[in-house]
Amino acid sequence: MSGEQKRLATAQASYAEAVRAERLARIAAAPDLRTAGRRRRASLRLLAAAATLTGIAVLAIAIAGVLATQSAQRGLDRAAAARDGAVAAISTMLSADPAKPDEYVDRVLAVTTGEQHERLSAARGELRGAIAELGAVSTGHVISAGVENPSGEPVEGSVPVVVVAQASAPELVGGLAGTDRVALRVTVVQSGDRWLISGTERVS
Amino acid sequence: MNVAIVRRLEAPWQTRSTLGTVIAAVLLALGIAAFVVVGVWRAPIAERVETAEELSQRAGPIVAEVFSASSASWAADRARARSAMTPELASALAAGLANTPPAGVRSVRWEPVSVGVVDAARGAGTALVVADVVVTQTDGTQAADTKSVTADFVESGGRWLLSGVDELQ
Repeated sequence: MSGEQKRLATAQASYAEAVRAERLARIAAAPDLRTAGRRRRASLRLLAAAATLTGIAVLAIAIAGVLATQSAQRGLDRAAAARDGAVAAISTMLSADPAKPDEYVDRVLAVTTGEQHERLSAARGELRGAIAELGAVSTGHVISAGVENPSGEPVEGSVPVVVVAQASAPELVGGLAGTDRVALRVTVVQSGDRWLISGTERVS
Repeated sequence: MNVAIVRRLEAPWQTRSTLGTVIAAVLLALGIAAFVVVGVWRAPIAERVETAEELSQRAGPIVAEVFSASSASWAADRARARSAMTPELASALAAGLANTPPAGVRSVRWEPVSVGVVDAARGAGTALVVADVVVTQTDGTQAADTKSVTADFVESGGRWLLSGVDELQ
């Protein structure tokens, strides 16, 4: 055997040995690799499950937030509309022309409802007479108005509004004659898309 | 742990498994996005509601605190009034706050009767306060009157401070 052939044989033998060693190592490592694979799949699935649960929980919170905010916005809109209704109605009640008492009574009846409407209807004649006896055209306007207890649940759909008005005849809304400013607590009730007064009470 | 669950978790990977993971990721991303969007959208509305609620509670007592005083504790009462308002308003009213008690008056007491919220925004708002004002003379006689003020408030460090006041009645 020449030296050349000897080297070749040695090389082939060590190559075969290396291949066998590699195969043995592979076989030896297989269970560990399989275990690692199983672990990886398990953790990925667990992660996916956790992500699903978290996603659902966060979505639920977001939906609850939308509902709560919509209801808060409705409350704000309602309070603003009630306030505007009270301002408009009180301005109407404070503006009277003794020459046109019937017109006044009709306008006031149109902005009131419930108990106050009934009371004014019943006293229509007296109210008409009182307007006709006013010495001059009476005017008035609301200086400031705010919703009382805005977070409170409305009692039977009514909203209390505090109003301060400037009036030449404050007695038209229950104020004291001879003064020019009157503070009122007005109860307004929604009727269709309008807000009407169901009660006025002087605050003092 | 339950063996059946472990086996299912460790089962070979399939197209279905990839699909499930993708759906889970999308759901989580959607949830977080919705949460952030809703949070940003609701913040100003929630703040307005909160201001309205707090002012309807606090406006009356703050106005009473600022305007009530008794001659026996005049300096302390004025100091308390100053601490219930913004520094700007306190310096605008400095002259009035430094006054000595009016002659013959033992105490002035504001008793809020009605409080209406006129305007509410984030950290600021306006309330209409109607109060009975009882003035007690040194001889013990009392006189009551109704007063109305619109009062502006700002929130500072978790407290509401009077920032402006307008006497209406």
